[in-house]
Amino acid sequence: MKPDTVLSVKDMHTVFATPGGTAHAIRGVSFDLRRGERLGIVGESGAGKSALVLSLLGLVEPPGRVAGGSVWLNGRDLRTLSERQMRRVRGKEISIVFQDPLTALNPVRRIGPQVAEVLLMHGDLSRKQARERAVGLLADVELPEPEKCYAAYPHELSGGMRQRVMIAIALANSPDVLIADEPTTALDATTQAQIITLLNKVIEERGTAVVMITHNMGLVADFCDTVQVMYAGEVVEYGSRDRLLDRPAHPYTAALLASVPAMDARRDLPLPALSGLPPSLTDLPEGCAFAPRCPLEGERGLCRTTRPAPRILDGEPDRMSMCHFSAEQLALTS
Amino acid sequence: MSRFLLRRTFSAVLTVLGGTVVAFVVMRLLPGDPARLVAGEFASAEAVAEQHRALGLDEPLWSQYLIYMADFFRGDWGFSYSLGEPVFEQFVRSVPATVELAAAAVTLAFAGGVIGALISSYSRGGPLDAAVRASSYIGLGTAPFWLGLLLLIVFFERLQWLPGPEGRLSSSTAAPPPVTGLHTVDALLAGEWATLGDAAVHLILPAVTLGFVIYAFLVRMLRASMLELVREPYILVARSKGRGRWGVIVRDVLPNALLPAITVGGLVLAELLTSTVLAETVFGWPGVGKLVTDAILQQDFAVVQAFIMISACLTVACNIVVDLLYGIADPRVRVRSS
Ligand SMILES: Nc1ncnc2c1ncn2[C@@H]1O[C@H](COP(=O)(O)OP(=O)(O)OP(=O)(O)O)[C@@H](O)[C@H]1O
Ligand code: SF4
Ligand SMILES: [Mg+2]
Repeated sequence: MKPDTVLSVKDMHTVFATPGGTAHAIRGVSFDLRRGERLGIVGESGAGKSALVLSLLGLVEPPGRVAGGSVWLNGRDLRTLSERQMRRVRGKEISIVFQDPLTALNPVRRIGPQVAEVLLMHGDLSRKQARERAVGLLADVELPEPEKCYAAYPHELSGGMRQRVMIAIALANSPDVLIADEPTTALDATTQAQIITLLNKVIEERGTAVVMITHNMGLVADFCDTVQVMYAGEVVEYGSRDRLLDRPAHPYTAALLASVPAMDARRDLPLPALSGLPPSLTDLPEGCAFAPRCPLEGERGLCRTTRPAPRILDGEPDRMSMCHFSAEQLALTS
Repeated sequence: MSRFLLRRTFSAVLTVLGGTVVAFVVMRLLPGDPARLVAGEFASAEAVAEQHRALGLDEPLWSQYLIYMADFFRGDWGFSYSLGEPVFEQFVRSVPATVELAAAAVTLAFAGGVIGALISSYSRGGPLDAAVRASSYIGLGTAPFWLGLLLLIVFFERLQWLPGPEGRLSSSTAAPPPVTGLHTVDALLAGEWATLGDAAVHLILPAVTLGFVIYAFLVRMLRASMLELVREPYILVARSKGRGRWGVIVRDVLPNALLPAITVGGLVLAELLTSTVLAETVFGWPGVGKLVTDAILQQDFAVVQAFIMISACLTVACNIVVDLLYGIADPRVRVRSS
C-alpha cells in the first residue's frame, strides 16, 4: 500500500446470477487511491465499472453478490462491516455522483430536504442547522438563488442544475473518496464543461480523492492524474495519465486510444466502439480475455492458454499491464 | 387550472345527468304499478287512479324527470310508502351507520395494504412476501358476503369472540348521545368507554368483510409499483447517502407508490357503495345498504331511485376529489395544470 492511501481495493470479485449462468462481472480488481488523487476508470460498456462502484459500497443487490475481496478505507476493511456500520460509511466517508441527474433525485420530494437529509443522517445537526448548511452547499455548487432551489422540486431544475445538486449531496459531508460514475454523459457539451470546472473547484477545496468513471478520453486527459483501464471485469492496465495515454502498454488500451481519432485535436469525443465484442462474462475464454480481439496476439498459443498476470513494467514504477507482450506493445509506440 | 376545473365540472354534470336519466327510465319501465303498491292491494280502481295522479305518474316521462330532479336537489326525495315516511329522512338516519362502517373498512384496508406492501417489498421473494401475495389473491377471489358468513361462523358461532349479526350495538347497550352519528366517535366524545368498546367490537367483522377486497386490490397494486420503484436510480442514490433498506422503502419508495394509489382509492370508494349493500345485509347493519335491500324487496322505488341518484353524485364527487388530490400530491402534475 502506498503511504498516503485512502482507499485500497484488493482482489474484488463480483458475480451476477443470470439465466445463462454466473456472470463474472468483477474478476480480481485491485487498486489503491491516494489522498487527493484523481483516478480515471475507462473501458467499454459492460466492462464492470459500475458494478465495481456498487461492490465497493456494498450495494450489489440480488441477483448479484460480492464473492470476495477487501475494501480498505480509513484503516478497516469495509467488507467486514455490518450493514449498520456500512450505512455510516456511505455518504460520509465515500459518496457517489451518478450518471443521469434527471432520475437521481426523488421526483416527489423537494430538493432541499434531499440535500439536508445526508447531513442529518451523518451528523448531529438540528433540522434548522441542516437546512442552513444545505442552502450553503447549494450556493457552493454555484446554483443561482440557493434558497429558491432548496424549495424547488427536481423537475423545476435543468439537468445541469440537478447534477450540481447531486454534487452538493455527494460532497455534503466532505467524504474522503468521491466516485463519479459518468457524471457528465447525460449533459450537453457546455454543461459538461461547467460541471467539470465545478468539480475541479470543490474537490480542490476539500482535498477529496476522486474515482472518475468515464467513456470520454478527453475528460481523462483533462481531469485525471492516473488511469485504470478495465476490460471484461479486470483492470488490464494502470498508470499515470501521461504515460498511459502516450505509451499504452496493453493492446486493449492502444486499441481504445486508436479508436479516438486525432486525440489532440478532438479530445472531447467519447469512446467509439472497437471492432468485435467483449467476451461473454458467463463463458470467458481460457487464456487472455482480450485474445479474440487482440491485434498483437497473432496465432500465439500462450495468449489462448494462459491468463496473463498483472505485471509491473520494467523501469516504470506505478505502471501495471496485464499482457504477456507489454514490452512489444510499448515498442510499437516508442 | 380554471379551464381544467371547468372541463371537469362539465363532464361531472353530464355524468350525473346521464346516470339519473338511465336510472329514471329503468325504474319506470319495471313491472309493477307503484300507485297500486301505495294504494294497497285491495284498493279500488278509482283509488289507484287517484294515487296515480297524486304521484304525478300521469305526466309525460320527461316532465316527471324534471320534477323529480328539482325536488331531489331541494331535499324532497319522495315518500317511502313501505315505511310511511319521507325518503330523505330514512337516508339521514341510515347514512351515519354506513359512513362509520365504510370509514372503518377503508382505514383497515389502507393500513393493511400499506403495511403488506412494505413487508412485501422488504422481503421480496421471501415467505412473508408470499403470504402477502396469497392474501391478495384470496381477497380478490372471495365474494364479500361469503367472507362475511365465514367470519360469522368462525368468530361468532364457533369461537364466540365477537358479536353476531345484530347491528351496531348489543341490545343491552344504549346508543351514545348523537353528535356525529358515528357511534364510536360519539361514545368517545361522551366518554362512554363501555359503549365505545361495544361499538368497536360490532364494527370489526363487517369492516373486515368490506375492507378485505379493498386491501387485496390495494396491496397488489402497491406491491407491484413498489417493486418497480426500487429499481429507480434515486433509490440507489438514497442508499448511497447511508439510508438503510427499510428506510429507503418507507421514505423514498412509498411516497412515489402512493400517487397511483390515490386513483385506486377513488375507484374503491365508488365500488364501496355496492359492497356495503351486501355486507350490511349479512351483518344486519342498519345503514344505507340495508335500507336499499329492504326497499327493493318491498318494491319501494322512491328509495331505490334516491340511492341511484346518490351513487351517481358520489361517484362523480370521488373522481373530482381524486383529480384534485392527485394535483396536490404530485408536484409534476401541480405544475402542468397551473
Ligand atoms: N443487475 C444485473 N443483473 C445481471 N447482470 C448484471 C447486472 N448488473 C450488471 N451486470 C453484469 O455486469 C457487467 C458489468 O456491468 P456494468 O454496469 O458494471 O458495466 P459498465 O462498465 O458500468 O458499463 P457502462 O459503461 O455501460 O455503464 C454487465 O456486462 C452485466 O453482465
Ligand atoms: S496477452 Fe496476448 S491476447 Fe492478451 S492482450 Fe496481450 S497480446 Fe493480446
Ligand atoms: Mg456504468
